[in-house]
Amino acid sequence: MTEMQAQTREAPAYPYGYLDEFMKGSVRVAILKAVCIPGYQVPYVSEEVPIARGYGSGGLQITLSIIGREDRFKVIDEGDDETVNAQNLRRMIGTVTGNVATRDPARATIIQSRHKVPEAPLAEGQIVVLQSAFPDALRFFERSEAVSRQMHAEGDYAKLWLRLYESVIDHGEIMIGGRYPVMVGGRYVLDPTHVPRWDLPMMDNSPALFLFGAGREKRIYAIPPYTSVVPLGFDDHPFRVEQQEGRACLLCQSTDSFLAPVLRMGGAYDWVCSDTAYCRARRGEELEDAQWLDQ
Amino acid sequence: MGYSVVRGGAEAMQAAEEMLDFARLGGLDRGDAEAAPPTSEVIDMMLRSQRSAVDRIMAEAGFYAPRLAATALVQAEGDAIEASFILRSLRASLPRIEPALPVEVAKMRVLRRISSAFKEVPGGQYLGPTRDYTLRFLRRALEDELPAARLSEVIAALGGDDGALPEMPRVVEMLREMGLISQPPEPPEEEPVDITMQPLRFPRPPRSARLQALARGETGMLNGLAYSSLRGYGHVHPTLGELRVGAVPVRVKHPQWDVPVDIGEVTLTLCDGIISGVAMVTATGDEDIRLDLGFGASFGQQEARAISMAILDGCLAEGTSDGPADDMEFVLYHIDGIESLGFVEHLKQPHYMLFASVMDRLAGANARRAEARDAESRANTGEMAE
Repeated sequence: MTEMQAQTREAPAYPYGYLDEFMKGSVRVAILKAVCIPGYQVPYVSEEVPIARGYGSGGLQITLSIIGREDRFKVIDEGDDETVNAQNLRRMIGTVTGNVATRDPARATIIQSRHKVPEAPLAEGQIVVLQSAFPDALRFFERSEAVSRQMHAEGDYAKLWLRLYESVIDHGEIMIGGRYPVMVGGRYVLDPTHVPRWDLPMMDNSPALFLFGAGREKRIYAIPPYTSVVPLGFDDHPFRVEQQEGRACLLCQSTDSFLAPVLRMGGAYDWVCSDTAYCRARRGEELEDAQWLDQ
Repeated sequence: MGYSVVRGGAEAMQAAEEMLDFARLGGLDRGDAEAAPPTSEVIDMMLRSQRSAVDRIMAEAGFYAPRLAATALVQAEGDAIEASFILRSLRASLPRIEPALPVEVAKMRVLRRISSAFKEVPGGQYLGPTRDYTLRFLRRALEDELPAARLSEVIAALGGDDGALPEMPRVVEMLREMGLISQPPEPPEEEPVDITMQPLRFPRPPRSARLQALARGETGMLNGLAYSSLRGYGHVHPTLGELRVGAVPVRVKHPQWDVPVDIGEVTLTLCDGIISGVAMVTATGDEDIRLDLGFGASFGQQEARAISMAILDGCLAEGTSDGPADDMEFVLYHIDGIESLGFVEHLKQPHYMLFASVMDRLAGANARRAEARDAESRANTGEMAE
């Protein structure tokens, strides 16, 4: 509770969870629909929240709409609990709910995240809220919303497959780094947000619920618990996660978590766990809770 | 008759100018004019408290002169484009002596420096004054704020100066040394083109000319076009190698002794965008795939301007006409706020004769249509009679 106690200066009075009940209701309706139709992008009204567009407004709207007084929440940004973006969102959620925040993924009932699925196994009852910038996996080759929605409706992914095929022909591999398209529940192709490919197997048949909030694009979509998530690939050019041979975390020596590069003077790299909680737990550190003013 | 209209016009024009000052000085609000501070103090206040507005005006004008920009802002009653227009008009009257030497980024006195490409970069990351992670609550308590008291509070909270910042090599320079950055498609230019002295020539103006046009672009248009490419009407989605804000010396070659001399200092925002593409890495042939760069810069602390410019630099370098932001002529002809505002507003000028010509054509065409309709109905009536 040390650095986290910095309170929002001059925050006015607001209801629990900041959003008004109508707004929460409209978000919840969209979430329910998204859970019923895995991978389908549900349009919703996305009002401004005091976090800038592009900084996680969609994820924040979901978290604030589903959080209850008993929930313990965790916020990570690229796996890190302590980046300014994560701290800012944690402060925001903590300030407007008074709920306890935690860094321990096992204790969290809601994990709001940007670009990362926690490395530690998820459990039933947990919800991972992923901040999404691009809800539509077809957007990178089809700019028209009207056309791509029809493609999704008809399950017509021929153009997408063609793109992947062309990539294999040109480069010998599917050259998609992040935002790797996945087939959800055998029906809809979904943009899993900019998580590393490393994380996609962790979404497959997960006991946890994944909710995706794209605030600027005004879409919510979901992967319900125990739903198949299959990254697209060809039999002879299968999907591959990032290769990490020969690398280990500088801090905890982990080789089984996603490692992020740290640039050193002269252009050398070190590698560290992107999931800081995972890394700290391996080093025997305690993962703290934090709470703001009471509501 | 015509004579009296012209005379009336001149008087109306004069009165309109007086009314502008009436409005600017609060006349429309019927406030206490005696209590208003002298205008020079209002200009001081703009300079001190409207940093973003002043920076934006200088950037769009392409003219670094904070106090003049603040004066223009007051004159324009807060209309940023109008203010940059006033400032740019003034610039046109001034001699352009010679180009300054390239800015030495390493010499920047850094106010803020971040990288979105690496978790840690040599020299470190400094958040500096940024609104990025603030909560956008309306601070109604500003109504009760006493500037001097609050300022000393802030200074106490921030603590003392930590001394000199470490060396901060440019991230993309390090990547370039590692062989990861592609060569720009165009050879480097000996001297940058100045588009205030040489016109833009299509289909492909030199990069220095494009960068200058973008650097003076209107903030909203830069932002909107860059966003369109990010979002799907294009494909440039850069990772920011780094974004820096700080003060750099302006240096010129001494006219007699041929040595660089400092003649002043400007605050700049610089952005190195690594155009990695958000989803697909694209390249052809057998060569190693390298990353392209887009560069953006702005006077003052104008981060969205610099980032948008880096995106558009990347769009225009590729030259593929994929979306509006990739279209050289579309971008460079419509990016300038002073030009676009002027032309949109010109519609308020008299177009009496043009409109009369249109009406004349309309009347003629409608008369012919009426004739045709009459002929048709006469024919129909004839048929029915049969």
